[in-house]
Amino acid sequence: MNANTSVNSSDTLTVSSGRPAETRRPPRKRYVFLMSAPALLGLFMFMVLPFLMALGMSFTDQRLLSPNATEWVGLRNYDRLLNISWLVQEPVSDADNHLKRTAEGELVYPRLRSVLRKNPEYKEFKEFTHWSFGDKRVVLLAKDPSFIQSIINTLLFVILVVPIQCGTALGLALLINQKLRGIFLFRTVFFSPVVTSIVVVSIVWSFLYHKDLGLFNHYLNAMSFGLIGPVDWLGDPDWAMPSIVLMSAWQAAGVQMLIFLAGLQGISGDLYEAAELDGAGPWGKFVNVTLPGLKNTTIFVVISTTIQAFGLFTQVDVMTRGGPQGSTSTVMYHAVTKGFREQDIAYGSAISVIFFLAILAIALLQKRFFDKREDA
Amino acid sequence: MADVKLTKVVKRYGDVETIHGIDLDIKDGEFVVFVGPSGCGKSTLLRMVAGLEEITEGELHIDNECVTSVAASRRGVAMVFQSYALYPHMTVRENMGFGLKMAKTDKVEIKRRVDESAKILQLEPLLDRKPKALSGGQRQRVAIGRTIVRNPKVFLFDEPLSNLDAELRVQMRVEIAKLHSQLKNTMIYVTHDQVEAMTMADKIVVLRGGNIEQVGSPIELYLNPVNEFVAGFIGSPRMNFFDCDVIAQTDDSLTLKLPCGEVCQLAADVSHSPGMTRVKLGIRPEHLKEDQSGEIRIGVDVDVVEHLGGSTYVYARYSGEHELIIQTGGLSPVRRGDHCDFSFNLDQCHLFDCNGLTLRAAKPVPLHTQAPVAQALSG
Amino acid sequence: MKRLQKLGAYLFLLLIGYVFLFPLLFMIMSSFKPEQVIFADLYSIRAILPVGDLTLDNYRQVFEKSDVLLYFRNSILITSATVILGLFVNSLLAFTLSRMRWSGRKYILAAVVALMIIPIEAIVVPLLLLVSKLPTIGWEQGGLVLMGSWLNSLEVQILPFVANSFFIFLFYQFFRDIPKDFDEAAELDGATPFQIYRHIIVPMSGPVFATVAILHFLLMWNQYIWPIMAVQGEDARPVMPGIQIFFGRQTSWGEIMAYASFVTLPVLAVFLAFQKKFVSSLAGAGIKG
Repeated sequence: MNANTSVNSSDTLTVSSGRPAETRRPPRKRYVFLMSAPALLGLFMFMVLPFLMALGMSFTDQRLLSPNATEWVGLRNYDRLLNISWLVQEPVSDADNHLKRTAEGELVYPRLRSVLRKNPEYKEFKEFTHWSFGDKRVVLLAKDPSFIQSIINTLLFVILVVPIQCGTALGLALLINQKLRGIFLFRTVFFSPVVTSIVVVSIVWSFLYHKDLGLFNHYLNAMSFGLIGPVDWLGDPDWAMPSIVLMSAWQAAGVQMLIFLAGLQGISGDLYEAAELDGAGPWGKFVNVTLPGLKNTTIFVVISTTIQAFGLFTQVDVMTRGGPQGSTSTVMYHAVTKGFREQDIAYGSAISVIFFLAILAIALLQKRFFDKREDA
Repeated sequence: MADVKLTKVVKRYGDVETIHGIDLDIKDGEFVVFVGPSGCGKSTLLRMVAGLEEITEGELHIDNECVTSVAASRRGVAMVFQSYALYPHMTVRENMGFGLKMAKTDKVEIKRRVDESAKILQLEPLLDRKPKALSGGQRQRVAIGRTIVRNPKVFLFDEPLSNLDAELRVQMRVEIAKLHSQLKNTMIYVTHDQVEAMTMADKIVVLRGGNIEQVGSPIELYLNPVNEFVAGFIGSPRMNFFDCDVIAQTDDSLTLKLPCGEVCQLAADVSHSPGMTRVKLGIRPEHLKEDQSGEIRIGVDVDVVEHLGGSTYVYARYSGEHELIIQTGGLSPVRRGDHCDFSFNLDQCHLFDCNGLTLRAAKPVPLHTQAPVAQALSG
Repeated sequence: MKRLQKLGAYLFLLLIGYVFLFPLLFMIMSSFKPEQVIFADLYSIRAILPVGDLTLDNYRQVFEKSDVLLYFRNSILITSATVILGLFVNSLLAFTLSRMRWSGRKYILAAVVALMIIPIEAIVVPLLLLVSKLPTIGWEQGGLVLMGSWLNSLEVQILPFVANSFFIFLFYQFFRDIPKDFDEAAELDGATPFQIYRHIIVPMSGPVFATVAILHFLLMWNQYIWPIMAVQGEDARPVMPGIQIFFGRQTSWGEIMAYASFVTLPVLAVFLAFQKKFVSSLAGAGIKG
């Protein structure tokens, strides 16, 4: 070391002792405030406040643009959404106690609308669906049957799309976890639908699902040697939702694939070698090493996919507009239809609140379910 | 240049008090080492001096100025971090000049001072490299260089050598010592390694559980530890302890029965602690002799023998259950499984009461076996 | 045997790859083909190959029939403004959460995490009412005036999406793992918290800034539900509602494919350019989340 160099002491950085000891820079609090305020303001203004507004407005009759003053209506919106009832109808009989039948031989029941109108108990109710038990007919009533339909549709979508999408994702992840030359190329390919807008994807798939020209019907026809006729994928109430499920799983599986892939690569190679030494075959290794190793990843994937699936809107809006016959209307689609297109903000808000509570419940339930399995 | 004075300094996190009222005077230009086991509060204390932790109670003076609530950057201190904390996206030059840049110093001036400090530490060839491209020792030097640039009143070191390998550690130890003799600033150095403390310090502060156990020069601590903790902490290998029954006690002597049954009498001022039944006897490994020349002879069973070349460590059991370390000459014939006798002199024994306080320290006798002690005594 | 296995693996991968790539390639290729060629090629491999009479007619028609360029410009403005503001605002909050001690920090962090599970769909309806009540501040006749509502503007598509709890969380996680020594060294060097953020933390956090920028870009470019509600007029309309309206007009498939290809172009370009980064950032985001 060079002994004759030393730093000139007049350069000293420190304050001279004349300064009062209390001298401090602007307090940290001010920095915390200034640096955190923009994001906190944004979150509050556009996440928390709307949610609180939704909660508040769901008890009013607020409309988007309305000259009338807003009034509190208590639970009326929720009553309209969730109130379900039923009634049992006896078939109509003629004077001789013979059951009336139509020309087709079907039983005749009193006109439901007049029954509902006559009975104050059933005021505002409409038919949702009915079943026959012997001669009797049970009619399920709801104040907003299309909302009940939307809930059922949404649940159907979730129940179908979550296993299909997560399963596909796991399969793809296993495929691209192989040590093969150029495998990253396939990773890119499998992921490419994710970056494509769901709007664009929906439009392109509308073409593929086309009844007369679409590719699906072409292949279906070719593979069944013309036996299975053209299916109106998006126009048939039975097929519209499954069609949307298939496309949605195809579009989004890439995200979960990457998450699974990261999970797979996080499993120590030692475990596979240990399992191999213990005599496990490929299947044994998959069941005893891979699956347990992916547990946390799976929890995350399933929960996030479920929450995402509940928000189904865009595909429906682009491809089917809720139809045919309401078979693809979802909770979110219903909320937008009522709250925005029909300007009934209060009603739409009530749907948003129910939607949020459902999401919260699902998240908590799934978490508990998976936690329990861990204990067992 | 600066004195550092801590007055009744207390640190509390919520209800938990970790530093319990520390008083400490550090003179201008002293090299002070805070040493103690992990969790003793030595780093917290250093960080309170630096201004990175708030001082809950008490006062801190640097250069006769009360800086208890002054911001870290205005206290005139600079710190070398354990991880070096070199900003990875800046070159060595930018790293060293960052403090001056924050103080809005003129660019030419920054360059001059960075160059000057680089010269002291021979960092000139590295100035345009990024930290990633430096070796561990070079990074360490840059971290020190960064503090020199700021020309602080007090240098603070937070375990700066713990990330280096053994050889480099010794080398850097010497460099820091040289730097101190060159700059003559006050330096406070934190370590858990008592060897670093012994070799570098003018003054060692031994801490335990947020309290100061003892302050003194390395030799004072070695020869006159105030309690069993300091006695065990200072010195390597660790001092051997075993319990003895007190057979008889006068104002200035104790008659003890050693675990092996042998009875001996030691001079000690025990007038303030009458009626003791048990005491602890401490003897350093280097004071146990392989030959029979000592006053007290003990027979041991040898478990492990470590040949270090210059010396030999013998791990043995004395009287069945007492574990013992003995440091002997380089070419000891002792083998594992041997049963052999060692001996020691009574004036090299330390005695501690049941609370661990020293009743009697060893007499300062020049020794040849312990290098730092020998050095210090001759120097 | 080993080689056969490998060949099988590749064949299988190719088959699956075809399934995943077909719609996208089909869209792009068809955008260059006249209507009858699209249908003629549909059932063969030609559907995804650039063969036959390729033409730009579809694109010409699209630009004529629809104000795509305006929508495109709007989307670029909205996306870039949101992403840039978002990087700044979200990382600043994450910085105070991860690297500064202040009372209430834990509660704010918990609130940010809780907000992550609220999907945008849950708040669009009340948000619509909120923004319809918010006035814009404009400059008119030499003075600041409050003008109309936020609806039908670019800012109504930007400001609500700047602060994002998920991105705040990603920043938070990254910052949290940077050793505190850097901040303390800078603090001793006299840096203010903002200077520590600006000179130390930001330059060290390139990867997380890239990740968030990419995710935010994707999110904003593909916005659909919000603009169809908040933006009725053409002036501020972005691309996705634009294509939906165009699709609703039942024009020719070739033109629709041209439109779809055009609005997908920026995402594809970014995707192919930053392909590795893209994929790793999304995977990382998922795992940590």
